[in-house]
Amino acid sequence: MTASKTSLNSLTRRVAIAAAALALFAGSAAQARTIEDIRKSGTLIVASEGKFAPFNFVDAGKLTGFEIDVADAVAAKMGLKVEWKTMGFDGLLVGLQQDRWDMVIASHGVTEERAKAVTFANPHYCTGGVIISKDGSLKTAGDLTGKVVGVQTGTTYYDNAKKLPVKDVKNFPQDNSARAALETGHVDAWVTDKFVGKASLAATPGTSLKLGDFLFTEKIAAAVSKGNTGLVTQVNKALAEIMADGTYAAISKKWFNEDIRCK
Amino acid sequence: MTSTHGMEFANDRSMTAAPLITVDKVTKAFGSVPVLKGVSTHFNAGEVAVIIGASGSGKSTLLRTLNRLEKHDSGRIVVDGIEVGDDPKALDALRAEVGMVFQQFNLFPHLTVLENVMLAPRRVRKLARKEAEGRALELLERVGMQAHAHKHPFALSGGQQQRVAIARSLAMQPRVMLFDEPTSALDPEMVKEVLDVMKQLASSGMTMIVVTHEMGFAREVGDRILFFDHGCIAQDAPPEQFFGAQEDERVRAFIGQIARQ
Amino acid sequence: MMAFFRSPWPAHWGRKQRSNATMGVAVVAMILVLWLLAHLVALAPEPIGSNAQAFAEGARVTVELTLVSGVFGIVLGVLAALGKLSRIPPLRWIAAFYVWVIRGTPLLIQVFFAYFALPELLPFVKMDEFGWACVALSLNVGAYNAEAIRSGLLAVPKGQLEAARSLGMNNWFTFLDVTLPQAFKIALPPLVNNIVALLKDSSLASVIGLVELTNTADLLRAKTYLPIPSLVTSAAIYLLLTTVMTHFSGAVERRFDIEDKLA
Repeated sequence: MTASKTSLNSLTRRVAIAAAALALFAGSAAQARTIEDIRKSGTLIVASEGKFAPFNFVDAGKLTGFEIDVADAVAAKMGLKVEWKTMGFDGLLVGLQQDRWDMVIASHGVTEERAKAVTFANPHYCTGGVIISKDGSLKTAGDLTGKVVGVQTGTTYYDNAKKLPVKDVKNFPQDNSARAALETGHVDAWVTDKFVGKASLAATPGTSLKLGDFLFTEKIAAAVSKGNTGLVTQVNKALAEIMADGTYAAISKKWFNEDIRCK
Repeated sequence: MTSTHGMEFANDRSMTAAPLITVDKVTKAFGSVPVLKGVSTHFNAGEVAVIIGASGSGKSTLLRTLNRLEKHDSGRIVVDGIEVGDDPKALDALRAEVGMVFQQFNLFPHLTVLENVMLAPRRVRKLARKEAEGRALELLERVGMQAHAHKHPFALSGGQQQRVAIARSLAMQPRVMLFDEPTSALDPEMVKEVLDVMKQLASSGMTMIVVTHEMGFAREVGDRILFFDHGCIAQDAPPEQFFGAQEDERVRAFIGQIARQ
Repeated sequence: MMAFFRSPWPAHWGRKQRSNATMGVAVVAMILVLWLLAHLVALAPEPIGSNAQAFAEGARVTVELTLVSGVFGIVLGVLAALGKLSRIPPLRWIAAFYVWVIRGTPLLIQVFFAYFALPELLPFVKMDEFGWACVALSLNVGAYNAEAIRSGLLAVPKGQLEAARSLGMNNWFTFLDVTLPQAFKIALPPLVNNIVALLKDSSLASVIGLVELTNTADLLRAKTYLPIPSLVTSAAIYLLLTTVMTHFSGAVERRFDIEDKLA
């Protein structure tokens, strides 16, 4: 009698441990960190790409850029430190869904499709997709008819370019590959963010590439896990504060010599 | 085209003009080791010359200089009017006239027996497929291997492979056939079948130079026996004299040694 | 895999017939797979099902890329192997240099180089990304093939060459009829290995914008923010393709296995 009771106890114990582990695993897989959790830890985990100068890029081994400065300022207003992570562009929002980080700031354009998958904060700047070509030969959307356009994979530039009657849209994992494709004549135009394009061309003064018109304009915002209203409310509050007290203006001036907030 | 075309070989020893092959003061060393020390001799058309001697005496090396598988260091070798040198075209022409049978057979493993025999005539003599095939089958019949025409070499015994090798060389209708210890790698039961083919070949009048340890063959079929000793031809005599009234001690010792084996 | 079943061919068939039949079946299987892939994939759950056509297209490009690069790779391999064994020093140096550089640098860099650098160095050559990808992949697999073929050439016994020469065969015919077939047979297993690896290496062409299988999966992944369906689907298709290819190459090996060394 005693023997079976013991074995039953140990069996029950094993099942209980397994169930707890499963619950823990399942639980941790499903829960994003709430603002309370974050405040308790004192650190906000933010992810970016690091290959999109001057918004987010790596300089001498350190992640830096306009959006890095903005995110640092927002976190400081919330009384938090930032732990920075980097990942390829098309993996950033997926990482949010997998709760690898609390927030992503990587120049994502706000689109309906993306808003289904994540919750966007208020936009921290406005811009648009601009057409870049050799000697500015292609300026408007109309000029792109029958031409080959190069863009970065998974971007709104890709989606918008695909809507036009172009000959082909070539997609590259890295945005700078699209620029290289333009320079080597593999594509007729490069569509990317206006400021990215501007900074890219400015870095090579002798270039024959020129900016054209906007293909489309968009609001750019940071993103948090879908439904994490607690966090996003606090982020928006902090963002509004730095936009009011001159912190944002200073950062924007430093990087662009103009105020790039949405008007 | 008759079926015996090309099957007859010159059999007119009585009309010996210039020798078929002349070897004049040939030396050869492997590194610092001299192997041929000023060898001079000649070979006549229709003759069967058997070269014997101890291992390392230079007999195989001499044979291989005749078709330039080895390069001689000094001296002259002339085969059928062609000087043995480095000119590639002359060499190819020379080798088409000089057939060789190797100790290790060296059949082409990826080809069938028939294809082995057909390859060179098609490529070198530019024979048409049908013609080459016909000639090959006849030769295989001569050596008793026609039933195995579509087999690959790995499926044959050593003796069978060597017979195919002989047919392969004959397909080029050479003027002289060189044999480099053709039976040394064979099991004793198979030696006879190969020697029989060689005897047949000799009696049809083919010029043959054979390096071998088979004294019986030398006695029966040879017109001349050349005894090699330490890089020189120590003796050059017809078999009756060589095996009969042999005066040289070391030759007698050598023959005795071989006989005992 | 095939080793686990008994041979499906009639028992009285010889090795040649059996391997010819297997090769034929594998070729037909490959064509069928590509043809029917769209229908097969359409059966998968969303979001894969509605993108079946795209996956089939991507797989087709991958196979094309592999076949074209594979063929050129064999030619380059033979030339480089001969070059390395040549008696003419400059040929030896060029061949050795080629093999050293290609085997010593990552394929990813070679792909970028082919697409971005070569067009500038050779402005008269106008190709799209498929062409440049083939260039990079052919050069890459060629260098690895070179070593396999070189060891095959060296492994052909000296007696074979002596026999051929003493029959009066010149250098060219000796090489073509005696050396090459034997060398090729010896080199076959590593060559087969290389081409199966090539199928997978072709995925790197996605970084220069070629829309092959990996790129197709990337595009879907970025669009839907769901990594698992895309990755599983593309992995499954790669596995299917490499399996068919391995069966084909196994049959090729058996076809040339005159002495029945293989099972």
